[in-house]
Amino acid sequence: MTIVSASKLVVQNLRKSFHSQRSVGPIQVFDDISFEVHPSEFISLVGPSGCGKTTFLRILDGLIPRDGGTILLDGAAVIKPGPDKGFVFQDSSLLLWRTVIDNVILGLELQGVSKREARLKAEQYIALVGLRGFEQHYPHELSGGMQQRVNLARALIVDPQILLMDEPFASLDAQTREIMQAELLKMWRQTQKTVIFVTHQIEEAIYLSDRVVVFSARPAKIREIVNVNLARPRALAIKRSREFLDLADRVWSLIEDEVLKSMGREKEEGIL
Amino acid sequence: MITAVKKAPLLRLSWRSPQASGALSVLAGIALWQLVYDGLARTGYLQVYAIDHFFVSPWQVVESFAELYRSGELVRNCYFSFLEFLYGFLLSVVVGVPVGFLMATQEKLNNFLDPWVSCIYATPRVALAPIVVVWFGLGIFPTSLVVFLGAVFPILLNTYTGIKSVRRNLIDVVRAFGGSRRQIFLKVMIPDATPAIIAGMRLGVGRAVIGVVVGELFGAEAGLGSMVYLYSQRFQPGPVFVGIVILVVFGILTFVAVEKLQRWLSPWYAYQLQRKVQGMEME
Amino acid sequence: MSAVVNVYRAHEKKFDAALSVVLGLALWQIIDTLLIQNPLVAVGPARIAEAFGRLWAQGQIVRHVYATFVEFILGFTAGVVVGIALGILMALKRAMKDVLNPWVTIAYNAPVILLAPLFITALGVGIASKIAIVFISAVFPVLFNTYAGITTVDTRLVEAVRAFGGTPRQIFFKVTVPSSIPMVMTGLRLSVGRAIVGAIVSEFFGSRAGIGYLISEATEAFRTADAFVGVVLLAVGGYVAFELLKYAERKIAPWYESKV
Repeated sequence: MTIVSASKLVVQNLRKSFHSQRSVGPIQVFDDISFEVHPSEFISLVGPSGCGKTTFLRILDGLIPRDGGTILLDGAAVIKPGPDKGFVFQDSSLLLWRTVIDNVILGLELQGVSKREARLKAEQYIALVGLRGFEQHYPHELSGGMQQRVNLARALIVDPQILLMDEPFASLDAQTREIMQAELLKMWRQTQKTVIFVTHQIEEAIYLSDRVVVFSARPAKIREIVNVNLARPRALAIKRSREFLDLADRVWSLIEDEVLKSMGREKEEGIL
Repeated sequence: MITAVKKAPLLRLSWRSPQASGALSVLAGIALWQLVYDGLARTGYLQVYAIDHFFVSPWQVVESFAELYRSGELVRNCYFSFLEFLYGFLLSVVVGVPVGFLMATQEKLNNFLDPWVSCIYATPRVALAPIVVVWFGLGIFPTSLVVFLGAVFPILLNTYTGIKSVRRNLIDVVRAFGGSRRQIFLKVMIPDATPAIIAGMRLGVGRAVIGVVVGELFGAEAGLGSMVYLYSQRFQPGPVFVGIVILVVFGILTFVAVEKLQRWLSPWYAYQLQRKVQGMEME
Repeated sequence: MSAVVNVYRAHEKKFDAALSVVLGLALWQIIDTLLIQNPLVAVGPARIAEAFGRLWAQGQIVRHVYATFVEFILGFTAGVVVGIALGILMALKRAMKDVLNPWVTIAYNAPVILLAPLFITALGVGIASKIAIVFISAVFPVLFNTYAGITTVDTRLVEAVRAFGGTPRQIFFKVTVPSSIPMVMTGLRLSVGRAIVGAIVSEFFGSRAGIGYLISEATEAFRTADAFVGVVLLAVGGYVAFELLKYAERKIAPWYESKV
């Protein structure tokens, strides 16, 4: 019992399948996934595209139902989405008709906190993500990187127990992406949040994480969990170190044959 | 930099601006119109071919305007037409928006209403005008109803499309924070659908003006449409043109007002491609 | 039983639509025969069918449909030809644009149908005035959308063809024309709707034949059922016109997914 309570998040025997019009039976997305996440740990999920990483993250949040299995957050079962989990969406999911500050306070507002009070609190988080001075801007006036900073502040302000991030930097250019990675690590150190980070970039996963969970092709299983024993804080230059490159090679070789497998399947299904 | 400025003198620049060339073109058009009329008047063809039964000069339009205004006829007609427009248009917003919303969210209701809505939408509703007048008699009410029939469908259908195309990921954001259905409705669906709904209203304005004219053709005690009809039968084109100009200007002003409302309600929307809204402006 | 349920589930929308139409017509008929019983007001499907049969036997249907069809097809065709030609000219010639733009903008947004009484005074109650009104109703949406379609062509596509050494003529026919077709089609759709309204309203203002004439004459004589026959004919005509347009769109621009 002590082991369970020491974990921030426990996932046991998680199962999920979809019904598709193209196939006769249900499509197994993943079958029997189990793992644990420690408090304040940074975990990345990588795997071949289409393996169901995003679906998995959405199930963790409770946005979509699971077919079976248990998810425990601080020992309590996750049934539906809520402010105990902060979800950072992939592309710009900001409300276009709200200014930066009003986007940031959304979560508090939905819980019934007064707008005035929420805005006061928001200042601190806007400063945290480095957007002071942009409070009254509309999303379309911001660059992609800045929009994702707002996304992050919006998730953090409700003080979630865990941060679920769904390829948040996927649509950013390479330079902005690197800067955002470093910034994210800085914020993570400051806030001590537990983070689960979905990405398709192996390098990004290794740079950010304590452990990298490698998914197999569909139906997804955990292929392996790779420990990243690089010292923190990590400078961007670490990405060119021997150790880092070795780790990247290892993760890539794990994924490579899975990618080939999934490409073969897509050909069969006529997607490619 | 300096040479570039010299090459593009200010005067020439303003001369070429769309507003300037637009105003110039309109003024030139009116002047040409006056000249053609005066020329025809000099030759005498105007009377010989009864051209003056349907053709006037801009100056005569101004004179007719002054005359109709002095007699009080113009104000009275404007008042009636405006009321018909207002009642009909408001009714079509009050009916079109909720019904469009319900059809977009209640699948069963949509299944049942869709054949009827599509069928009536495919019919030119002005064709119903004489029947409406037979049913409801003379006065403001039947014409308002004709206005309503014209304006309600663009509003209803744009509301439907607007609600249907609310961004899923934004709904997910509110859900992820544990937002209720009510909160999803208020914080995402309504604001995201607003531009489409207003685009529908903008289309509705045009239909409503046509509704006023056609409705009054069949049963009106007063109104700009009936004024146009009356004077065209008396072969007096002056007042006819006055009525047309007022209705056109009113239509354009209302159109602009709705556009301003759009900017005021959704300032964030201006940057988005107008194409999306334009795509909805059909039929 | 479950097989029936499954079939229903698979085609739920179609079944619901059919049910809705049947129920609606039945309700309409019940109101007619049981509640109001006034042929002036309540015109149930049965009365409309009967009126249709009578008008058909008298040859009225063919006569009125033919009259409106001729007005529509001549005015609409002329409107499309002139609209596309002027739209192209305006898009390519700066001077044309400067002169025409304000007028086109006003005419596109204004209810040009208001000119109907003047046209009838000028050209008489015969077919000429109707064709003219259908023409001015149809011309501006096509013109405006043709212009918009050509001027909003993706410059990257133009550059791509130029990079391969394409001449201006080639650019026009290989890029500009195909990529503006969807907008032109939108204009055509708007024009069809306005042209039908133009034909009907001008017939209301003064005519001797046509579906609009049938409707207004029947209502003046308090033959409401006959008027409804006209409305139904218009509904069918409008439907056929839009379906034909959709078909043409699929043939001409299969890469473009229509929003209607």
